[in-house]
Amino acid sequence: MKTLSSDKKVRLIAECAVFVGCAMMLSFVEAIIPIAVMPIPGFKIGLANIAITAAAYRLSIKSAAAVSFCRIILTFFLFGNPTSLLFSLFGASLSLVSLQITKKHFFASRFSFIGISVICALSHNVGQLTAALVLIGKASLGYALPLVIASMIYGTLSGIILNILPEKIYINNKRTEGAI
Amino acid sequence: MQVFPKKKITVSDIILLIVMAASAVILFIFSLSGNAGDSFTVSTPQGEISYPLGINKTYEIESRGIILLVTVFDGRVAVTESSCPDHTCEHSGEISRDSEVIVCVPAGVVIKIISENSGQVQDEDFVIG
Repeated sequence: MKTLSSDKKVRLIAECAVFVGCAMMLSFVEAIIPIAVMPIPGFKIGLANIAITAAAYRLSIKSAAAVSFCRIILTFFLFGNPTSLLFSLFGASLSLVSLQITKKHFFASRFSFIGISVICALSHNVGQLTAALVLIGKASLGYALPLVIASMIYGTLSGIILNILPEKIYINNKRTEGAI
Repeated sequence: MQVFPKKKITVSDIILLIVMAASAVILFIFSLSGNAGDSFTVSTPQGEISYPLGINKTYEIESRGIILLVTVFDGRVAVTESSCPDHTCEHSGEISRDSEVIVCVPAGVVIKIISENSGQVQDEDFVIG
């Protein structure tokens, strides 16, 4: 692990904090959208993943993980209940793993952010289904269909947003990536 | 050196979406092939109770301090009212086919359709874990 000079460290912490702020704001926007108007009941859009993906490309996957877990804990304090905390933790962990895989050359050279978000959304939903298995002890394959459809629609949606965002967000000239 | 993803939709993206749409269609056909159920079970942390699907009735189920109103109408089951904080089960809609489920996580309740002619052995094929 490379060590950063103190000014770079400060910059990294500040940038992480900005991403946590963005993710929190997106979670809030998501929380005020009523469940009834969602295209698929019971599935959240996962807007916060836009900020997590941007953090993973601008900083590093470690920073993105830190941003993601900070967001989950803070969202839990604001409007969560214990069940949604466990669901979020499972979903976020699995989607961070697939984010790291898709950062590799093989995927990054072929896909745009649409493909990457769809893969991350799918793994996020699979993680939540795992959480349901842990909590309830059983799950039906009947959940697979809404899960695939939700990943497609919501993944494409956040992928389009990530594609539209200016390049400056992802490219870090000050080179603060690395250790956190 | 970090390779940066493209900023416009690529062929790989479209292939991925087509593969997912195809699997969604297969899953949909698979879900339609299920038999209509004869009864449904309500499992709570306290135990499992079976109810018939033939009788139109509203059942009150209490679990972990949460009260669920489960309504049976024309062979379909729906959670019509719940005192839980997230109301996801109310939006799950109606279920009527074999091994379809409605889950209320805060209450720890699972409502599942049972079909007698398909048998319990085949039924196990539809359950993950």
